[in-house]
Amino acid sequence: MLAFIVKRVLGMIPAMFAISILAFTVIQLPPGDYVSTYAAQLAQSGENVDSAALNALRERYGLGENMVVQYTKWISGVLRGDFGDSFEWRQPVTELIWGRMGMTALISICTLILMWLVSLPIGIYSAARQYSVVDYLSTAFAFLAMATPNFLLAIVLLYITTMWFGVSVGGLFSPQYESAPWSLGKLWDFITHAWVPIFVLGTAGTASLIRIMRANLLDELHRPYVEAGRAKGLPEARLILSYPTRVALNPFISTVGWVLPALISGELIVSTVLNLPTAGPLLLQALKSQDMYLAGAFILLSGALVLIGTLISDILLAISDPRIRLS
Amino acid sequence: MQRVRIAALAGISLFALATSAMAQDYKQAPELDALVSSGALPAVAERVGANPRVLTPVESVGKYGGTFRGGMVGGNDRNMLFTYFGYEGLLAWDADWTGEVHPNIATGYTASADSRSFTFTLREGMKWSDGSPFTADDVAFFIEDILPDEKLFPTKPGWLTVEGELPSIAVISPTEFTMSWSKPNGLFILNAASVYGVQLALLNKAYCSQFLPKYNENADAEAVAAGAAGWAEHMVAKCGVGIEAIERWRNPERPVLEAWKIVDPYVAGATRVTFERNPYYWKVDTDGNQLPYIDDLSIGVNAESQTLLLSVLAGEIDYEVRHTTNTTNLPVIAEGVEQGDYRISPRESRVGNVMTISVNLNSQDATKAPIFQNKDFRIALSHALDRQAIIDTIYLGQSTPQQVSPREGTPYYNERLATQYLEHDVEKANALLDSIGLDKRGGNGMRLAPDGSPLVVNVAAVTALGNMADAAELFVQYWQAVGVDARFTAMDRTRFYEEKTASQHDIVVWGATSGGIDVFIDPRDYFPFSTESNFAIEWAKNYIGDGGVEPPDYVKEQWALYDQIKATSVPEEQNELFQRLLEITADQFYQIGIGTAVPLYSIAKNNLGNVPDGTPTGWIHPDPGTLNTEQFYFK
Repeated sequence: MLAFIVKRVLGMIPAMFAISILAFTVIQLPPGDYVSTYAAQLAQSGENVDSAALNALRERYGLGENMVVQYTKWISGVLRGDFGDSFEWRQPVTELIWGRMGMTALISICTLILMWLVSLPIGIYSAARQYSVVDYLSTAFAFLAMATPNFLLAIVLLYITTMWFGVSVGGLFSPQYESAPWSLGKLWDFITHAWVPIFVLGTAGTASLIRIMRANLLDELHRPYVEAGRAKGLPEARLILSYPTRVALNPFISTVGWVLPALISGELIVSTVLNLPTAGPLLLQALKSQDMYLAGAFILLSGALVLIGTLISDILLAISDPRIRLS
Repeated sequence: MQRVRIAALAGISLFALATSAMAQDYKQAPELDALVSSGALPAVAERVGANPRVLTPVESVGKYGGTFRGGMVGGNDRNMLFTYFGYEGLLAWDADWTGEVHPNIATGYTASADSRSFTFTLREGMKWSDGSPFTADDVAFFIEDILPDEKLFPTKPGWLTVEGELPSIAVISPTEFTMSWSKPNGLFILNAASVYGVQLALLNKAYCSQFLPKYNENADAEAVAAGAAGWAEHMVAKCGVGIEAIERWRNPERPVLEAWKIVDPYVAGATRVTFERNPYYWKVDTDGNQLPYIDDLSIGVNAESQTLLLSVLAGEIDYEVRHTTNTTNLPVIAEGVEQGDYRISPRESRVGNVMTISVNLNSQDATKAPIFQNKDFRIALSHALDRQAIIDTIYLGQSTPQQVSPREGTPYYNERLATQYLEHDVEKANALLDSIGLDKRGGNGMRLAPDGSPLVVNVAAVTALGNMADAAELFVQYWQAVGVDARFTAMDRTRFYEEKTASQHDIVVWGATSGGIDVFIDPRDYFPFSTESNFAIEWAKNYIGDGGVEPPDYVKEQWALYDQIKATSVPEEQNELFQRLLEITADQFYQIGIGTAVPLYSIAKNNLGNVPDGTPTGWIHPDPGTLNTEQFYFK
């Protein structure tokens, strides 16, 4: 097992290097740089752009240098834990990223737990009672939820909560709690706001997990080992939960790997629409303004998290499913 | 200049009268009462100084209290804070922007006859938000210690330099100083009252000097200990030396002269920026109430303008002019008036046109360059357009056909420039194009260049600025109707900037700028002045000393006229010179315009008082800062 993990970790190093080059190239692909975007933004709002000032900015950030130099400069900083400064915010990128990650993790984990809590029992039930009323209802819900784009759901919900219920728009807190320290009042405020993003982010995922669970379990239910158990007189509920369900859980475990990168980049549009203080809107803004170091750090981190997540999934699968061979 | 000086001097005597009558009866916000009685704050009369600025309320004397709710969008929206709450210069424009310069931090000034030196008088006993006195030394600190420093100020603001020379300053007394140059700086007072003027009274010497090695030998070590790379970086982070620096809104410890001081700073990741009252604010109303009326500011940071729009509709924004108040949003905003309990007030855009159509006179294409440089080509393009139809389609009829020109009703209006070549006349356009050697047509019916090659003209507009791209698509159809093979290209703004900065464009559509008092400060639409002069960027580069191409004599003549404008400070003379400059603009017909600026609007909650209607707006005249937001109040 240890050898397996070490081998996988070593394999991650060249992958990480490739990701870093790719991330850097992608950021540099659009024409122009932060300074031209900045100039265009200023000019649009009728503010003056002084070309000497812009050249000074370019020089300060080394934007005129060639790609290799810029990449080397960047990656050597990253290796020392220094992601550089955000051009736009004039603050170290590390300060920006970790500040938003906590909230992102909180929302993502809440969403994940809710997804599992809802989808597992429904999936199991609709497999065990195939073609029952509940199965049809859950199927209808799943198709509808998967077909609705999350951001659209977000817009509709936002409109309804604002215009009909008078709840303040978007965000995770009311203005008076935004900078307050945590308290019971703030927790309640968080709960009254957080259900919207958790619901929006969770619906499509829940729907797809219901379908996956149902399909996997249906495959297992008619296997001989289930029939044998039933023949031996095991209670139906215990029979299904103890054996076929465990096998059918594999896809849940392998999606753990995808949850980690979603912490950063996932549901970027939803967080932007809902004005959540998570990493998504910051990444979008960084990409729009070509804030190279900030965007680079996000992309690099989400790349790293894909690798780590996959590793965790593999290890968990190896533990939970004895059929998997380690060599 | 004489006129302004008299107004300023009259102001001083008025203030003297008013203050002597009122010195005993200044009133303050109730939230400060306890602090004063406990001795934590001096009495209000001491805080406002001997000679506060007296603001006449727009509607009525207000009442204290409340939290102002506003909204910012995206990263780096620091200029929202600047234009709303940070416009405190030595001098100020009035809300109507008539051209009168009013006393603000300074009570007045005198200019030397040759416009080389300017002496300002400051208010007796005026204080920073930490209670320390504001004096001429604070201005001198900026001029002598900050401005010349290459690390702190790598590029010097153009309005503070005359042919590259920085101003010198002589402090006469704590309330009097003289700024001077060896050559005239006739636009200095206009600039000092505009948005840039804030720069002169931005830094508190007592606080900010601790970050400079000149005043503190440990400055570098302290900077490194605080996590900065060096003293300069530390200084910028703490004091935000430029008016547009984001750091201006970061450090709650930095003393300010503004009505509110920051509490929750504008840092990355912040979802809300908040401010509290500056107890030492130096303005009072006519009843002697110390301003501001409103206690706190609470500004939400939105990822996207649509969320802000929803907040407006829900009635959660007290005043908004920056992000949501465009023509596209007008229907939905008008529909939400009742539910959101707000009103829509007209604002006047003072730009010189709804848009500029710039044919690139510095085209890099050898075939196109001579065609574009031919004035008849541009005249033909202008006659080919049906302006009224464009205005009806794009601006719902809210504009009148006009070329790019200073606005009618201002002293700078030039009728020939504004009204030439406006008629929709296809025959005339065709005849003109035929006459300049574009009379041969290709198989597709489109005109060929004189060398027989197909003449394809690319028209670029930025899609994010909706109206302009829509309009450009119409232009293309009108031009094709007279045989000019124009093709519309929608562009992302960054690429647009890349192309035009390298003069690779054929025709670009962009917004016009100055059309009022700001024509002297930013005349980019009237001659090759800055890299925003889209019709001749290479000539403009030559003007600002950034390479480029040497222009023809008429451009040089315009440059000389502009230099003469700067060399005088008598408004009549300046305008006379400017009219001569505009005659050349009219002769050359650099840019094609569509119509007069479209009226804008602002949104204010119904219970927000002292918000004037119909005020003009611009960057040089930054509203709502010019409306004196410190006298807004909740009814």
